[in-house]
Amino acid sequence: MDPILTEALSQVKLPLIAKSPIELNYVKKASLVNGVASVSLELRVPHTQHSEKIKTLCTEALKTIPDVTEVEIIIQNLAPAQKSAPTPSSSPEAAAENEHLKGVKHILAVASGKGGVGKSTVTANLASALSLQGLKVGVLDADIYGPSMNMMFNVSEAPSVLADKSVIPVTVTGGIKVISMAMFAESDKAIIWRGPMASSMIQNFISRVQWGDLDVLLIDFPPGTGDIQLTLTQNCPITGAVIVTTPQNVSVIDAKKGLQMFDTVSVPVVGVLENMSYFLAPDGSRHNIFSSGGGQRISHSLGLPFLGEVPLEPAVATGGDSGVPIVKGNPNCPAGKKFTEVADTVYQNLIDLKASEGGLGAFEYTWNELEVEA
Amino acid sequence: MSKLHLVPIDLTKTTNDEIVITWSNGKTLYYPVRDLRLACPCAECIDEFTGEPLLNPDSVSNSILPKNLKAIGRYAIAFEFEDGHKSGIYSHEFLLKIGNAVKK
Repeated sequence: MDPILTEALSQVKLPLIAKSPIELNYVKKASLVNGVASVSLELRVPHTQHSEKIKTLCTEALKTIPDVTEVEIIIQNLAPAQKSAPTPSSSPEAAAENEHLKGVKHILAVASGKGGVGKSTVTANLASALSLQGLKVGVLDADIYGPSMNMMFNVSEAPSVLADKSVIPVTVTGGIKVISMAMFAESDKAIIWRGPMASSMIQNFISRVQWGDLDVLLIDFPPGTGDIQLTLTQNCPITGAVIVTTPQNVSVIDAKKGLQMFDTVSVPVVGVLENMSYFLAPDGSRHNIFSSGGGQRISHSLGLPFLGEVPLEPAVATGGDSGVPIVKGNPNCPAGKKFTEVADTVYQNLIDLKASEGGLGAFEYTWNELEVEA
Repeated sequence: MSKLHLVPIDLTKTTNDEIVITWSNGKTLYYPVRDLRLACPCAECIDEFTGEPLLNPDSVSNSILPKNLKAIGRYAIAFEFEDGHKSGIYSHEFLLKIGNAVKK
């Protein structure tokens, strides 16, 4: 490299990005012999389409050097990405994003506005009911701060982490694949994190867990409409969402906010499920502990399917605590029957939604591979 | 709430380097890349509270191109531009509003 030439070239400002070919490491050769300056440049995107202009700019700059009488510039373009090649991306992690979700047919979000409405119980039971039908089911417990899937499915082992940092979910009885924050933390220690930490953990769950082929992946959303919820809706191609509420107004108001969130991010809501609708006493009498009809009201006012009322039964809680969801442990009790019925409806709705989806789905293109309009 | 949400059904570019999106209602809209970059709705380009534009249009090259175009969930597209800017999330609703019916 001739220092006089490189000095002149470092004064050149390239189009698009105001940097010199030296800064961009485009100059592969620069020599000055008997007044002839020979320079070879290797251009990368976005400059590959502007080689003529760059040649002119460099020639002009080199001609300002008194010793130079003639300029020879050879330009080589580094090959742009091939159409069929894996999408190059800004970071290798972003490229791998969603890679492990490719084999997942439907993603179901189970959410609520308010906490304590039994979302995780609903998730565990819907998952079990679907797997009892012979479907391949996975559960992603996205409740970073209050994970409960370990208990719901009686998981005590940790998932294996492979050399490439991908994670194999834990398989529980019934073949359900489960991943939960609880598997990565000591069970009695609180997770005290700010939003960005929680969001990046969620992104790891999405991009690093090897789900394999699944018919349905259920995501147990944390309550509310914050960081984690937004990260999930932005990074997962969610097919539909179930909103869980209890009958009383304080829960219904929050459920409505959850619905608005999904509406904002265009995730269709497959229906509203009312949990703990009434207490069924051992004598068979029905008690509306948390008032009644809240789930119905919200469904009707927003024009969404009402999936049903699940009664409050001690057996549901016992099932959750012991790791055997009630649809499995006691499928014929009223709550067990209801969960099974709701799971059928939800799955059918997911299939219908998927069929009517259209659109490009979860695409990612580089500019070079984008086709030219027909 | 269950309003019809339009989604992109085709994404191409013109020989003139405009982005072309065909929407699920059959409409085709054109997006000159520089206009798209200038319309970036992110907090670096538009003040979150006052709505005041923060991006100096003169700092954006006339021939700017995107590097990467990516779906965000079911409701938006993120464009990564050659100037390295990639924080804008363009909702479908917003894109439908700012698209041109004809090529430049």
